[in-house]
Amino acid sequence: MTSLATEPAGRSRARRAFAQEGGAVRSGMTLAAYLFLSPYLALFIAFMLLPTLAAVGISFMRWDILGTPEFIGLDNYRQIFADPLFLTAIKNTFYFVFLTAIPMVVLGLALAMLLDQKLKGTAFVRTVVFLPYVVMVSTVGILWGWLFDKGTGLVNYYLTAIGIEPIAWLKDPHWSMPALAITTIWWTVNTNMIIFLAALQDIPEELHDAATLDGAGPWQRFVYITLPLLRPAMALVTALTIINGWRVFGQAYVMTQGGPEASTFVIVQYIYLTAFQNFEMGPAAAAGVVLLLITLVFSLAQMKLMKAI
Amino acid sequence: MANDVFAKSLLTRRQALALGAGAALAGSLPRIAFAQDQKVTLWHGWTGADNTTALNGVIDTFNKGGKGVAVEPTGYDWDTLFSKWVVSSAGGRAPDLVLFHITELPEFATRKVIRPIDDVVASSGLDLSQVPDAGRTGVTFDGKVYAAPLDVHPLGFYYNVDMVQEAGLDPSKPPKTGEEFLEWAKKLTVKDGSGKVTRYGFELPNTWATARWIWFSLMYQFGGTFLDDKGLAAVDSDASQKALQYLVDLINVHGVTNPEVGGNKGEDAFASKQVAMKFIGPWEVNLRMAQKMNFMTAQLPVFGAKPAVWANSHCMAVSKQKSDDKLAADGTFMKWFFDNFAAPATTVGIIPQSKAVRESAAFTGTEQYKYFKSFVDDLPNIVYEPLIPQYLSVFSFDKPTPLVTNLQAALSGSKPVPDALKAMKEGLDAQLKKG
Repeated sequence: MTSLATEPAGRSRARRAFAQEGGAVRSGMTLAAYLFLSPYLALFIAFMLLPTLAAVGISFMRWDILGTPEFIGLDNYRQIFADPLFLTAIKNTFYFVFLTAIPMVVLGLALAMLLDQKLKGTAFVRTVVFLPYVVMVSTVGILWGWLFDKGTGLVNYYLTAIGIEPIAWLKDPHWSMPALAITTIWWTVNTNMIIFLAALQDIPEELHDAATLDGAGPWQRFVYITLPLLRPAMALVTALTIINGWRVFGQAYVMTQGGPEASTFVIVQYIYLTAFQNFEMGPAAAAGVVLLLITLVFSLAQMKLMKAI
Repeated sequence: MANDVFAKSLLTRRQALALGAGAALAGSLPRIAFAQDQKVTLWHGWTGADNTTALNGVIDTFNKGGKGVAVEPTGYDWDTLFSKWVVSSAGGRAPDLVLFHITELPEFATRKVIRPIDDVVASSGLDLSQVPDAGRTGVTFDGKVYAAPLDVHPLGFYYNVDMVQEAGLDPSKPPKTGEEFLEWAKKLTVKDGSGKVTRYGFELPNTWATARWIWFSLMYQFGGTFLDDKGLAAVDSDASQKALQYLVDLINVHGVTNPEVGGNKGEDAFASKQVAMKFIGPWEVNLRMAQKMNFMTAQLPVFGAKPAVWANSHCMAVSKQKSDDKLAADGTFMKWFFDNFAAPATTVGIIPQSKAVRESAAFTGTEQYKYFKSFVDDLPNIVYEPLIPQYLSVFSFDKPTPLVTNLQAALSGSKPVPDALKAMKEGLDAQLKKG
């Protein structure tokens, strides 16, 4: 016989009552948690989850918005992978991610470390560095369009000053994507900087002090204290940078419209063009699903890699 | 005492209420009159500040004219306009009237988002006989009229008068042939001591649509056509090759132009004196006047065997609706707008399709007219791009379509002209066969 079987009836009742009360408290807390989450969840479900599920469904249909959707199996996927323009878009977007990912992380961290100093005017400089983030993509595109102009742009003015021949940044297929990458880094590196800055400020001073006492130099402190403690922030920043890189659209659309010679044509522009210019919703949705899978694979791979480190 | 105060205060309240009601009634009297007007919504793509102001000003004049119709305009950039319109049509919330280009008409007619308007034209008295044949053909699809053609905007020739004079050329005698044009282009190209070009004679940007329009004009001048009689691309024809090779030679052989100069948004190579001549539509007249440039316009030179010049046209169509109860109101505005098009045409920089409006003092008496005149003179030579249901996907000028990508490749030198045109034909045929 177990001890529970011999337990007096009164104590058993008390235990049950306590368990029920605890359960009630727990379920009340769960309800409260859902209530707190509900404003975001409602918007997430309405504008993210349901459209994503709808897009997956539409990717198996033939539909021009006006007519009735017709199920056609995997035909849309076959169509986009047979379309050289879609393959070009994947290649170009990958190139953009490659050009932006490392500088965005390294530069974001460097800026954060620079602005983590307790010097006079740091707050002002932080604001200045963050300012580009509030500028609209169309303004950023037009501004950098001027800066990159071959004849009158400021970038070529300085290049010429140091003896480099002017570059037709936005009209030479070899330079157009690096130009978009530079623009994007200038525009968005500050978000990475903010995340790194917050993480840097969370590192206890004592750790640095103790290491200094033990004779560690600045480099050793960076490698053995700062970097390991920044790992969660690094994982977040890398994931966000890569995901945002795959979703690039606005800069390319405003600055080069995907040209010259399709050199800056990216996946989201392919989706936009297919859906809202050609009104082929099926292939557009299929391209969207492919983009979702690509970002998912990259994010998972990156998470695994960070865990391994 | 208390009652007195109450009575007094009540009286004051009544007075206030009476005054307020009176004021509200007085204020809303004109509104009540206009509230009976039938509302007509109009979507358009003229989003530039000047264009919107011009259009809204004209519509205000109409709305105040007591015709029983109140037009509510909304402007979107063209891409947004088209996608929003098609989606709204699917949802049964399409605008009543839409303004777009006649080259896009077959696509919207095929998608059944617009309705034929022969009945509206007849009942409103809109006089289509004022429109040149090409304009009337442009708004006709499957034998039915689908829109009112409003304007025409052909390519034209702009040149900087100061630079022409400095080069020892006569600005009153602009080039009329390819040879004369090349002579001007060479003399207007300026190099510094090291041989580096500091100014090109001609602007031929490798971005946006200008190069396409110029090549299209030259192709027809050399006797070619964009499509063959089977409706497939004829861009690899001899005439087309000659036309494109002529442009490529301007870059590589003669060095009078550089495809990397001008063209992108914000890059004004003509105003920043990087080029002396350019081919563009009449919509730049107001801009150049505002910049106080000493410029002049002329008809496009004839490079080939005959004159031909690219053009497009705006038109106004009626969206397909569940009910036709606004058709009379739609027609009232369309006819009025067509007949009173001189003001928007002048401000936007386009040429009225209606002969009566084009020749009226309201248009010819404007200070812009001396620049518009060469565009008017070129009207007999205009060629519209093919009126096909796939127009938006084939001719989209800011997307990497087979047309754009291969034209850019030829101009940048990354593909020889015959290869670029062969690849272009293959890509275009695939688009055209899609239906």
